[in-house]
Amino acid sequence: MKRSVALTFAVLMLVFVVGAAGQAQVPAPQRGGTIRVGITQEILNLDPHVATAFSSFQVMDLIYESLLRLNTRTLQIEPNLAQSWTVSPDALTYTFTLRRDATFSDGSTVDASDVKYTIDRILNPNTKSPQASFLAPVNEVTVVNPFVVRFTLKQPTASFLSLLTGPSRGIIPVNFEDKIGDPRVKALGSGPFVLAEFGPGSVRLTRNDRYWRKDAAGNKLPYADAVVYRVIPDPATLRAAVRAGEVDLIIGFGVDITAARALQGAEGLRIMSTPDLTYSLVGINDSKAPFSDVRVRQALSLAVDREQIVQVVYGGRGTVGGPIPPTLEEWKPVPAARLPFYRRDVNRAKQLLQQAGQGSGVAVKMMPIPTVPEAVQLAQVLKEQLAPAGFNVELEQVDFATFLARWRGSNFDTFVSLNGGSIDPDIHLSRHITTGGSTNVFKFSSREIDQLLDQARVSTDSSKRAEMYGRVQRLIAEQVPFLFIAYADLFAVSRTQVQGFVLSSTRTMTPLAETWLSR
Amino acid sequence: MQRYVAQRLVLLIPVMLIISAIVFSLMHLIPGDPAQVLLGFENTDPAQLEAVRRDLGLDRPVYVQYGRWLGKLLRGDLGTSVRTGRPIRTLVAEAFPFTLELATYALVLAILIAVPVGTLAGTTRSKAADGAMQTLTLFGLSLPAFWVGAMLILLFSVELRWFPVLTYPALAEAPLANLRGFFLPALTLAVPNAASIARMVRASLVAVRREEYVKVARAKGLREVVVVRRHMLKNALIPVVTLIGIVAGYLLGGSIVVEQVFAIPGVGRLGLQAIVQRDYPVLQAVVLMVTGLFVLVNLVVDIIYVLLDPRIRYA
Repeated sequence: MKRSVALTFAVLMLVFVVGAAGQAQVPAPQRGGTIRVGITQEILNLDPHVATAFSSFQVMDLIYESLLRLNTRTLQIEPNLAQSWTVSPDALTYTFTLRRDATFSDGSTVDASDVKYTIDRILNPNTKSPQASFLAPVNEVTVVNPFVVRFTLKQPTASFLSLLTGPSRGIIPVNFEDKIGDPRVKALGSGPFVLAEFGPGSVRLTRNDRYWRKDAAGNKLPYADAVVYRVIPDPATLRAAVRAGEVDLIIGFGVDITAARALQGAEGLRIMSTPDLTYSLVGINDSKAPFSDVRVRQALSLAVDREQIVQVVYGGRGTVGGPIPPTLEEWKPVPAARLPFYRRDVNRAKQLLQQAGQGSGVAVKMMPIPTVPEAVQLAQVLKEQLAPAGFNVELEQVDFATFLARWRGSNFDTFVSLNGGSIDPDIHLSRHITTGGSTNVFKFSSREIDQLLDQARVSTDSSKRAEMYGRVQRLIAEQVPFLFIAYADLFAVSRTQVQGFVLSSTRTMTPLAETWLSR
Repeated sequence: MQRYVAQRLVLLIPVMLIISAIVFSLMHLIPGDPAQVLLGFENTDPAQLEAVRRDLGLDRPVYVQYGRWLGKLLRGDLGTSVRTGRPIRTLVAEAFPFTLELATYALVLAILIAVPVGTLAGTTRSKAADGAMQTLTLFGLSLPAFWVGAMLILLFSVELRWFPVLTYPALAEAPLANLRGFFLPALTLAVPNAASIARMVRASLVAVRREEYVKVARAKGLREVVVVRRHMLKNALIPVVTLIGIVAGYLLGGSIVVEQVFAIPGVGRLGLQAIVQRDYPVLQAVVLMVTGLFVLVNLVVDIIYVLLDPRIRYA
């Protein structure tokens, strides 16, 4: 669903790194072959700045490149199309120097005017890019010389570099549409692969021979000749396809704990997992009685047994977490056990409801997002857990478009869904929680939290920022804009001959450039 | 006869118009629209939503939207998909061959299974054999396609590796591989239809069993095989043809479940996606096509009737 965009100055847990790396002695990569990837979601649109479906990003990850990228293992910001950058002392001007050897797949050089064209396109209201709100801090992009481009910001924005990563900020050539036609079905980027065929139920990408990146030994990337994405909507069929060797890798929606369990021990398969930045949540309509009373929201939080949810819904493969993902130690995540209202306490929940004048019980409608199977299970478990405290939950099963419409219009009591996380706490939190935030469908508003998040956003001192995020977590736990439930582990399953693929918490497919098939 | 066919073809036009109007209004009555699906979960900016709506013409009253769609249709333009920007003509042209082959294959399999099974059940004197067939067909009717499909994949593709999963080469390029690839989905689709056709064959055979002409045939000393084939089946199959026609109509509409389970990008999946994404013009095109095919198949059945039964005449 949502895409994590992100930056970190974080030093991540060792476990995290080892979990993703799968070490041992690495044999020499072999060139050639076609990597077949099975996904469940239909691929609809390949316009990097307009597409919103996760499957679109899975494909565009290999076609489009942004100025910066996240290291798939450490999640550190790294140079990409920009090889270096400087920041002015007032943190309002960022100057990027581009590498000179990057070209689009049509042979033209990626230069500063392309960068300006890209950002202008995203910000142009006619593009109607859902990404525009992320780049709102940008005041202007100017071309200094063909390989130097300068961004000026409206206000200091600590998360700024992370906003320049990922295919949704993918650099496109000047006069993009004139060159290729409709970017929803055609593509032209500087990434390791080019779009060869966009057919019904599948997308074929072939190697971009002009691609600039090389591996540590100086070999040109990518290793594979082609990558094919096959859409297999049914998760059971998807699992059967990887078992039968019809696809080499299955990843994304539908590849969850159920898949990991079903395929555990199957011959010729490798199961990968990593902690996720995406979290499950219970959205609450904070503007509507009785949830407009913070005590009712606190009671709701107290009535939930998050540990049991991790066990029952995620088969123990996940972590109960608060507003900051437990993996992002840099930002001092407060363990859930120490956050107020996070430990189940039915009696206290009842007392709070009593004080709020809701002692006779609260009727709650709960709408799980239909595209995420765990969300429905989670809602069912919640219905049971919430009952003893006096919440009488009625599940509302709606279809995807209805869910979206009601989400957007804040037309719900509560909903169960996932929020795409980010390694930058500002992007992770602000848009959902600050007053008038771009995805604050909860209609939550707290001046204290707004001020703290605003200060943290413009602070360029990362230790001060971390301290502010430490405080804001407790405030969020007390004010309960919505319920953070858990950060479930992310899974992928590959055939054992697939080498070099890294499952990243950012869910990026870019490691496929360095993936090869052993024969 | 020709006049009758012409009349039926002309009637097709109002039928399709009415159906398309109903579908158009139903789609607009349910919550959600393509503009919202396009924008996803990234932001809730109402101005952006309005702008996308304006682009798609969704800000106009429903009857205006319908009129515009109809106007384009009359000029032979099915329009473009809201969600993917691809011409709907292309989407349908890509999806239909999958569904057509699947439907044909399934229908052939269903008939190959149903006629012998139904004939045996309808002519046997053994109560046990008849009962067994009845039970078997009841199972066939009751098993859900998503379960049958999943089981067939697990058994024949994963364990035994007799059939590939999800390999659907073009029939013209690789006929054998194509027939192998489509076998499991076609079988899944054939099972319930075979069961219902078999039951119909049996019931109709039982009905003609006591007819005078059957007695006469037997009295003439004809062999039982000849009695069944020439005299009983020929008459008993007339109602069966109607059922087969209806089945064919349904199959051509695409099977959402089978196409989902076997990852076949056919008409059923196209229609389902159009509903999920609220891609109005795609859904309209799919419904229009399915309606047209359904009516045409029924017309063909009526014509076959005349050929099978000389007593029937259309004035």
